[in-house]
Amino acid sequence: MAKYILKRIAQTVVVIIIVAIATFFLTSLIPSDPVYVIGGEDLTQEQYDAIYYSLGLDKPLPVRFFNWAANALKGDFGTSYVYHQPVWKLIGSRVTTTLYFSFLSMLISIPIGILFGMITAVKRGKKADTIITLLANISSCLPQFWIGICLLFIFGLKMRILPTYGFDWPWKIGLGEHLKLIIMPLICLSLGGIASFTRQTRSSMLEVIRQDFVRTARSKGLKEKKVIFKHIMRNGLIPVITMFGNRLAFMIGGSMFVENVFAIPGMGTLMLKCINGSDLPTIQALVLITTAVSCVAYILTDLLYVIVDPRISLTSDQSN
Amino acid sequence: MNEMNKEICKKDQRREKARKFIKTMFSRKMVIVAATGVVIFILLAIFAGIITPYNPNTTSPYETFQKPSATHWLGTDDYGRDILTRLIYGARVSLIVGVLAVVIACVIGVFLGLCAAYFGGIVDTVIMRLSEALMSIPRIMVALALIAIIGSSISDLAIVLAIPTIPGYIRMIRGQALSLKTSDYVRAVELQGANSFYVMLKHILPNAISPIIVMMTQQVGSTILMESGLSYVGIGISIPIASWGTMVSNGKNYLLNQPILAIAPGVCVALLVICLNVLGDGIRDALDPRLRGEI
Repeated sequence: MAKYILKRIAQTVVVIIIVAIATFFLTSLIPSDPVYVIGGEDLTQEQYDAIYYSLGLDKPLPVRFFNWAANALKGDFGTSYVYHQPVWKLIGSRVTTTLYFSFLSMLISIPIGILFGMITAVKRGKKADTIITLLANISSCLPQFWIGICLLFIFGLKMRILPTYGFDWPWKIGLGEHLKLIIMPLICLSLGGIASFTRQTRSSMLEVIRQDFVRTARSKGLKEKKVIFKHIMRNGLIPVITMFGNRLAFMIGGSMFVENVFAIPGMGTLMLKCINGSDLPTIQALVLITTAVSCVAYILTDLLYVIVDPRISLTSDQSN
Repeated sequence: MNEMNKEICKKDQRREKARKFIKTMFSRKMVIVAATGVVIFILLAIFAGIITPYNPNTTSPYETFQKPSATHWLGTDDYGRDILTRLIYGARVSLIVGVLAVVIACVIGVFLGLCAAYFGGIVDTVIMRLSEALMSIPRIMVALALIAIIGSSISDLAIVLAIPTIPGYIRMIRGQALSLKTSDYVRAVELQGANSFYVMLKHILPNAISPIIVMMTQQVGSTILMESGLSYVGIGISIPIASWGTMVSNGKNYLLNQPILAIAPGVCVALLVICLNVLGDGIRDALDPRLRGEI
C-alpha cells in the first residue's frame, strides 16, 4: 500500500514537471511583448530597456525557465503584468472561492446523484426511471452559463427575490445574504454533476443487479432493503468513486462560465482577464495550480478506490 | 471463377452487415427523432444563405428589439438584426467547430496511439507520459492557454478544442492496438515483410475502428458545448460572427426587454447537443455486436 502511494506521488511529480515545462515554453509563445503589456504602448528606448532587463528577458529561455521554476517552488510566481501585485497574493483568495464552490456543489451533487441513480436502477423501466433518466440526459446537455442566465432572469430580474451578482464570505455579510448569493451559482454547478452521478450510479448498479450473488442473496430470503443497501449498493458504488477526481478537475476549470455569469471573483474570471491582458506569470501560475489541484484529486480518488475495494490493491501490486 | 464467387460473397456479407447496423440503430424511435434533428441542423447550416431572406450581420437601426412577427419570426436584436437568421448561421459555426475539432483530435490521436502501441519502448513512454500530462491539466485551462497562444478564429478554435481530447483517443487506440498486435494475422503479415505503417493502417486500424467512431460521435456534442461557453465568455468566436455563445452573452444585457435574445440560442445548443448524444448512443448500440444480435 505504502509502495503504491509512493509510486503514484512520484508519477504525479513527473507529470507536474512536464506540465511546468510545457506551460512555460508554450506561454512564452504568446504573441505579445511583455514589456509593452507592463509599460503601455508609449515607451522611450530607455524605459523599454529598463523593463526588458528587469524581467530578465535578455537571458536565454532555458535560463529563464530555471529561474522561474526555482522561484515557483518557493511559491513565488512573479508579479502580475496586469494587476501589478504578486501572483500568489492575487490567486490565493480566488482559489479558495473556486474551491469553496466546487466542494459545495460536490456535496450537493454526490448524494442527490447517487440517490437518483439508485432509484432509477431499482425501478428500472418504471415511470420514475424514465422521468429521472430523461431529465438527467437533458440537463447534461444544457450549457451551464445558459442555465445561469435563465435562473438569473427568473429569480433575479422577474421575481426579484435573489441578488443577480457578486460573492462574499458569510462572516462579512451574514449567512442569510451569503446563501442568497450562492444559491443560483450552486444550482448551475451542481446540475451537471447530479446528472452524471445519476447516470454512472444507474449503469453500475444495473451491472451489479444482474449478478449471481444478488440472486443468491434474494433467494436465501433476505429483505429487499437489505439486498439493495448491503449487496447492490456496496458493489455498485465503486465505479462511481472514480468520478470524484474527474468531476473535481472538471469543476475547477469549468466553474469559469458560472463565475462569469454571476460575477464571482474566482479563478475562472481571473484567468479570463489574464488572457485578455496577456498576463504571462498569472496564466502560468493558474495552469500549474489547477493541474496540481486536480492531480491531488486524482490521487485521493485512487486511494479511496483502494480503500473501498480491497481487490484493487492486490491486482495493482501484482502488475507492478 | 472461385475468386469471383468469393468476391460476391464478401460484398453480400458487407451489405448484410450494413443492413443490420441500420436496422439496430433505428430500432428505437428516439434515435430516429435525434437523427432527423441532426440532419435538420446540418441542412440549416449548409443552406443558411438560401433559407433566410436576411443577412445575419446587416444592422438596421430603425428595427431594433422588434417583437416576434410575420416578418421577423423571433424578433430582432439590439442592432435590428433578425434573431432567427443569426440562430441559423450560428448552427454553421457550432457544427463546423464541433466536427472539425473531433476530426483533428481523432486523426492525431489515432496516429500517435498506433505509433505508441506498435513501436513500444521509448516512443510509447514519451507519448504516454505526454498525454498523461495533458490529461491532468483541466480541459478548459488547456483551451484557454492555447487560445492565448494560437488565437480564436473558427479553425483556431477547432484546434484548441481538439488538443485536450487527443489523449483519450491515444489511450483507447493504444489499448486496442496492443491486443491486436500480438494476434496471429498481424504476425503473419509482418513475416511477409510488410512495412510497419502499412501494418498499422491496413490491418490494425480497421479492427479498432468501432470504438473510435463511438467516441467521436460522443465528443461532437461536448465540443459544441465548450465552444458555446468560450464564445459566451468572449474569447471564442469573436463578436460580429453569429455564434450561439456570443448571442447569449449579448442577450444577457437585454434580458428584461428582449429575453428571447439570450434564451433562444441556449435552446439551440441544448437541442443540437441532445440530438447528437442520442444519435451517438444509437451508433454505439448498433456497433455493439452483443446488441446487434450477432453473439
